[in-house]
Amino acid sequence: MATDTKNLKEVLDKALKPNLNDAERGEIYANFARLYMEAVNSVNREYEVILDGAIAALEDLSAKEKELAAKLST
Amino acid sequence: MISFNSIISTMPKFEQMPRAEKPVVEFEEIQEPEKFDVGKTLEKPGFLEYLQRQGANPETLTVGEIEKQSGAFETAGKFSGFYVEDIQKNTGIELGKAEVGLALENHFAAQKDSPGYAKEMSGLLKECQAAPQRFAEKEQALSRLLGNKDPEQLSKDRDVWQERIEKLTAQRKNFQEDALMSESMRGWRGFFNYRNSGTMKLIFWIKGSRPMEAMFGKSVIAREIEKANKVKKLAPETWFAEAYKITPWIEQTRERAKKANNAAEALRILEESRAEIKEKMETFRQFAFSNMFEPAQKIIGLAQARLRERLSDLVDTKKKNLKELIKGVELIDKLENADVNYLEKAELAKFSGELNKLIDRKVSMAIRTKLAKIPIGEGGPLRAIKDMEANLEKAGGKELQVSRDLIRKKLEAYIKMAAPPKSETEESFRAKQLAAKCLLIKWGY
Repeated sequence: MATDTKNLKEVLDKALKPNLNDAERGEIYANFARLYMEAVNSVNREYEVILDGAIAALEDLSAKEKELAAKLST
Repeated sequence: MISFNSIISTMPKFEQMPRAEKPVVEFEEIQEPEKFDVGKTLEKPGFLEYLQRQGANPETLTVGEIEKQSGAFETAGKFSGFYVEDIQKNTGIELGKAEVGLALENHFAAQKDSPGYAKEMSGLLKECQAAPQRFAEKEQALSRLLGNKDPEQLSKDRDVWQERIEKLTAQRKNFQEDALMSESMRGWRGFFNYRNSGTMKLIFWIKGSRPMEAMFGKSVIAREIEKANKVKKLAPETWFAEAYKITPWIEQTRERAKKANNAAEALRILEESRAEIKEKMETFRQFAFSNMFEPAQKIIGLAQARLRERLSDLVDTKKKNLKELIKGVELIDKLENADVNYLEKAELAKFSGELNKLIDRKVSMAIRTKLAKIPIGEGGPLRAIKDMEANLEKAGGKELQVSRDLIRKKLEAYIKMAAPPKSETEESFRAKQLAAKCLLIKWGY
């Protein structure tokens, strides 16, 4: 992400140059938005996958615990 | 020679031939993109004014141009909502959506011809606003499942379970061995076995034998006897049954240990990456308030002006009560720790110093008033000290815990006074001076 942010900044630095016309700047901005969107989505996905993994593992564990307790009590 | 018929006869019959799987046809519903409605767009509140500000005449614009302008207008609106909410949360300042929108609309209007810019930015904002909510729900579910356990505890549990598995496995092995041995020891073989009663007598004889005890140790022999006694009580069938009863327990426990390992692993990864991911998730906010995003400085400027106005008002108006002044100090603390630089540190320090002076003055006045109102009556000096202590510490009201140091300063000034204030009699003043001296001694000054 550090590299991503650097890339994004480079893209924006170009956009902030005064000698660009609106169309050129617009293209850079749009490119920036796309890159940013991809970066944010990938971060969110990564976090969500980890969260889901931890939840699934714990749910499974708690089901097994209950099952084992039931077996031991019989 | 192989005939055609013989080849045919070796071939499987039609019914026996493997069937090709039926092709599966899945229909996916294609959602048509919503058609742009010019009429509805022009009716949106504020859109015509926006076009006017942009110098565009709706009567001369094409449908495509209106659509582009609408995209810029909508995105500016969504972004202004984000800024208003964020600034309100972090500073308590309520900016108007319209004034923030003005700062944003020129930027989005200038980029209206960039394909996808407004759409991507809207999507980005939506994701950044929705994601924390989604994560919060999942994190809550996770902590509910985790209960009081932490990942480290889960790893420890895994070790305990592992140990239990080993114990159970060993127990099963013992049962099986004992059962097999017992099976093979029926009949005359049993005579030479330690489980046999004759052998038992022999072992009892050994137990009593001092040379044997000296050779093997008393405890070893005693354990053997105990083991023999215990095992002898069980029939071979019972041993097998016991052994197989344990088997599913072992499997269950092994499974559980394996899962614990996975949960611990998942949580470990989560813990490790949580800070990093949170930081990454903050990137959008940092961008939105940085000079990388053109309109950000204008919006920060709006909040800055409003904050300066509010703090100046607090410092200038002497009518402000203690509660408001304390809120002002709290706001300054918040701004000092904020990640957005709304006001320079030196300016904040100046406001903070002036507010603290005002608070000090207000509290000093309150102490003086309370001191004057404390009755000196039949209760005597002890009662006066008690009243003084109880009243002066409450001089800041519910909002402020007045420090004893400040009260001490005021009491010392009171003690040094040569003549009583106008509202007090000479007798009451002298008695209170004495009570004040006693209170200071009581507090250890």
